[in-house]
Amino acid sequence: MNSTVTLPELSAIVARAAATDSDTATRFILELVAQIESALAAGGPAEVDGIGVFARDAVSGRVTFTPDAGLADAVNAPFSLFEPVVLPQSAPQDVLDDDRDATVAAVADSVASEAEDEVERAESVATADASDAAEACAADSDTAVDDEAAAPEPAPEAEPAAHTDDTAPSAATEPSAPHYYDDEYESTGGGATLLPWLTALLGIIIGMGAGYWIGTRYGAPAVVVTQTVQATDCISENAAAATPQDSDAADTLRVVISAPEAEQAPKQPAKAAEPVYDTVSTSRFLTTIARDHYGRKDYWVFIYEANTDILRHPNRIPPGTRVVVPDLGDHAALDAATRARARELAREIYNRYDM
Amino acid sequence: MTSGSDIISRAAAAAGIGGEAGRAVAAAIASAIRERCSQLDTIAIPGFGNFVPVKTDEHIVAEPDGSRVLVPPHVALTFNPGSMLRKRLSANE
Repeated sequence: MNSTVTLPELSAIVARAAATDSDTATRFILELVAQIESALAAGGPAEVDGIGVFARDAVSGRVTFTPDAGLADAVNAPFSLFEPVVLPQSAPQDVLDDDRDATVAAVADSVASEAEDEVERAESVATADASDAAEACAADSDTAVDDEAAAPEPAPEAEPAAHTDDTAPSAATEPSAPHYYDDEYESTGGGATLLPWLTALLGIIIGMGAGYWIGTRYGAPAVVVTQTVQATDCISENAAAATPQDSDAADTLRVVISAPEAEQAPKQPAKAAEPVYDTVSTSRFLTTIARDHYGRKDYWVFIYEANTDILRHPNRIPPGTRVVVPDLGDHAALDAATRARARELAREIYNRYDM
Repeated sequence: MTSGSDIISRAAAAAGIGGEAGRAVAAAIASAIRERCSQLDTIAIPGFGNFVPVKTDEHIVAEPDGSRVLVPPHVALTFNPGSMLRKRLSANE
């Protein structure tokens, strides 16, 4: 398919079909071509049986070719079953723009027309049966007076049948397929319009749910703190309000408020008496610990002196070593004597290991 | 107009074969063109031209009365004259 047959190939095919040799077939083909050319050069058309008519346009001089009818039909054999279809006038333009859609529309129209024919045929048959039944029942009612109840039944059946028979032509005149396409496109367009809104609504709902969950999970302590502060404020306000009016109540509040402070006061010396420990790590040295606890990193010497039993060289302390952080007391504030003592201690410590 | 039988008989005489054999070979040529062009193959004859099957897809044609007709796909056999043939014909004018 879509390949080119050359002269040797054509000669071989012809020789095989005509039971002759390739040279003879080639020679005949070339002579046939020469005869056609000479006929065209003479100004007349050249007709070859089974192939077609070669002609030359008198004005432009172009060579035209009209294939033989049998040859044209044979070439078009794969598509010979198709026939042109007249499309309905009411078909939408956008459907006609696309060939595939037009094909579908044509097929749908043909199917719809066939269905309408079937419906009309069925209705005509039903009408005929109903009229026959009505006539038979009427005859029965005439002959048998006792069966009066059976007489009214055929009439309602005949009436709808006649009614449908009357409305059938109007339904047939109205094209149903275009309405089908219109409804389909309208419904498709509506769905496409609603889809972004539904997506946005869903996103808002999900966002609100996530916000509520985060608020309930992480916002609760803040609410409690606020309430506590408010309660404290209320107490202080009540105390302030009660002070000028009721001195006894104010004394009671002072007692209530000062009681915890009095209870906490004896506990602080106990906590100060407890030793403070810290751990040396790869990123936390004695200088770091000193700065955190004393506010100055050159006070590391006091920590070192308090842990001489477990420490050797101050620059070679293995990570994970747990050291005691001594309490330097108030004099450890930033007086110059303490800083001078720290520098002196540092020199002494390094002198121990530089020997 | 030169008839088909005249051309075939003259070509057969020029090729050195009888008239009956010439008609058989001409029928074989037509059969070969029919068979290969049905498969959308092009037949090329040097110095003369190409037989090219052209497939046209389905399309809609607007008639002068306003109606629209869906034309089915079809294959048409065309002939493209070669440049040598066109030159020779032009030279003869």
